[in-house]
Amino acid sequence: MGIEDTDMVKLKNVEKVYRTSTIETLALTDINLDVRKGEFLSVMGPSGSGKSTLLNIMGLLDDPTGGEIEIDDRPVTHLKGREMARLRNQKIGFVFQSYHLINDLTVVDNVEVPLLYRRMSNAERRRKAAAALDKVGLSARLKHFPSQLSGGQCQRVAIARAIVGQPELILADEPTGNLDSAMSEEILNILIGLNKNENTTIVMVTHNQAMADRTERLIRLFDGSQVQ
Amino acid sequence: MLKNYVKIAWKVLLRRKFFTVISLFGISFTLLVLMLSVASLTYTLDPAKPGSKLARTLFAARIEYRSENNHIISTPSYDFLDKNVRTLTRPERVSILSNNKTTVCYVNNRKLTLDVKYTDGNFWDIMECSFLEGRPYDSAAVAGGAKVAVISEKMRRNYFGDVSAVDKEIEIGGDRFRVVGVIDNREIPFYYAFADVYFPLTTVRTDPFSGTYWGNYMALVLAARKADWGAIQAELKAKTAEIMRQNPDITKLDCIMGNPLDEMAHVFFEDNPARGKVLLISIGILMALLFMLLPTVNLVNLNLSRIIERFSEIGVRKAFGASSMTLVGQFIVENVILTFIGGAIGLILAAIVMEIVSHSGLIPYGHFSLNFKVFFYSIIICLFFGLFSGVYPAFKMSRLHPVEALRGGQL
Repeated sequence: MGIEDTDMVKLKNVEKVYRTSTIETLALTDINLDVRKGEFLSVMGPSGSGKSTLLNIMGLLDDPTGGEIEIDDRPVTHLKGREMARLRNQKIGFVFQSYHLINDLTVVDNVEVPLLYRRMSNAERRRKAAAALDKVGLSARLKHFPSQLSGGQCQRVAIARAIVGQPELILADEPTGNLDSAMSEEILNILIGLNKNENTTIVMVTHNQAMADRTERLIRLFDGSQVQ
Repeated sequence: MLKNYVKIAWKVLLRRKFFTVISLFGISFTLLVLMLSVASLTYTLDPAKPGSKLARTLFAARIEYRSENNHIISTPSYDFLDKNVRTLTRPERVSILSNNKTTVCYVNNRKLTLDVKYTDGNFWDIMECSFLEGRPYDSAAVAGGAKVAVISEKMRRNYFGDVSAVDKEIEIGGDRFRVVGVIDNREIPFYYAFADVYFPLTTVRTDPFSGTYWGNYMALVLAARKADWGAIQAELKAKTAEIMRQNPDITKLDCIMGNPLDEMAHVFFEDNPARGKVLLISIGILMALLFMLLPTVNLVNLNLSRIIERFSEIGVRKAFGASSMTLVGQFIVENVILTFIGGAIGLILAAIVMEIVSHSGLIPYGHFSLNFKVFFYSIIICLFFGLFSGVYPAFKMSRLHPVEALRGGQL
């Protein structure tokens, strides 16, 4: 295991422009980036530099205005909505800064969400969700609701949800942005563990230099361009 | 997956209780009115229970006569029905009965206003009424001019009190009749059949053979199969054509034989009743749709605001692999669940209102009930309502880009 020679994500001349009737805002310019399988990459840059946009484009949550994207050697720019949804479901897991848990569902139901869109029995789904929660140390909180958990616990549930479908790529957008340093450390350790033990490719956006230093590679963005 | 949808739907409903109550009120009230309309329409226009003899029965209750000097639309005469309808070869059985005649009688110095109907023996066979006590009079009793009567349960209560009435006598119009049976008012299947007292046709004091085509009678024509209706109608048509051929002064003689809807179509659309029937049904459906429009728009609005609240959930589901169509399915299922809860409340309210109306005597002989047909139509209405009010918001939601939804964007 470890970093492989093949690319998990390949971005070629990716560009993102937001247009209104009066203004054109350049969010990303000419991004060329290869993320190799098994790599843990962090993305840094000031607010508004395009980090989240880059992550959303990699995760097929947003369309680039120009350029090409390949996920696992497959060009994805021209895929239809349904095919993109399937690809997201099979290959990618997301961790958001504000967790984005569904408040009406219990912890275990939240973790099951990605599996709802796969052919699987209820029992199998429940078993996998419980196993994912066990990995993040929350097996005692299955029936709790998100409102009954701390911020750190919520983020661990979000990580369990991201890994339950065993995706090859995890995209984490400031996963520790809302947490104190002790909890941030805990979350980072879980992500590093996933990368090391399961060879999951991870791209993490962060503001925290110390955290970025613990990852294998760092890129920096400034005004939509890659500067490092 | 469906279990998950139901769970989410339930939680969403509980989340904004006030909105939920308002939507449920709108849905259940609309459905209540629609169910009552459907109940009264099926009761008057399509009353027969599936599988009953009445479901195979044609009603001959309207005749149109036109000559150079006369144009008469009326119920047919006994004479006409006896000579032309009773003699039809194709029906399994034909019954002739009179229109209701209002009369009064006195019991312990109390005046009772009664609806009286004269029938033959076949009437009871076709109607399949359930008897609380006794039995109907048969064709032999009718032929013999027996002074017997079948009364309704309401009549028994008013005339005798809460005791058995069979073999007791009632006095109406100076004649005494022996009661042979008591029927349950609520079990009488059709308003043509309602009366307080039924007598054999042969006890009518006036001569039913008036010699004209129009009069105060109607016929029930029981076909062996519903498929025979066309042939029976054609047979009667041939007979009236023959009468017209023999009486050249008659320019039109048309005895309408069909169900009550056919009769209504003839009244309103004299020139083309077949098209009229389609038009009447279309008008009914259109009115129901228009009536549903306002609460539907309201529900669409509430649904849109609910979607805005759920942007994050939509974003997450899309991010984790839900396709737009899957989410549309989820939203519609949720909405259908909501409308079915509203429908269930509406159905309970409708049952209560129907029970009150039936017992109030507000509509004479009117007995509305939540029968299979009403229930079936109600489910169709609920489903339609649920789909109709859910599709537009679901469509808007499905077009939402995942990143927009996660950001809490705009619809």
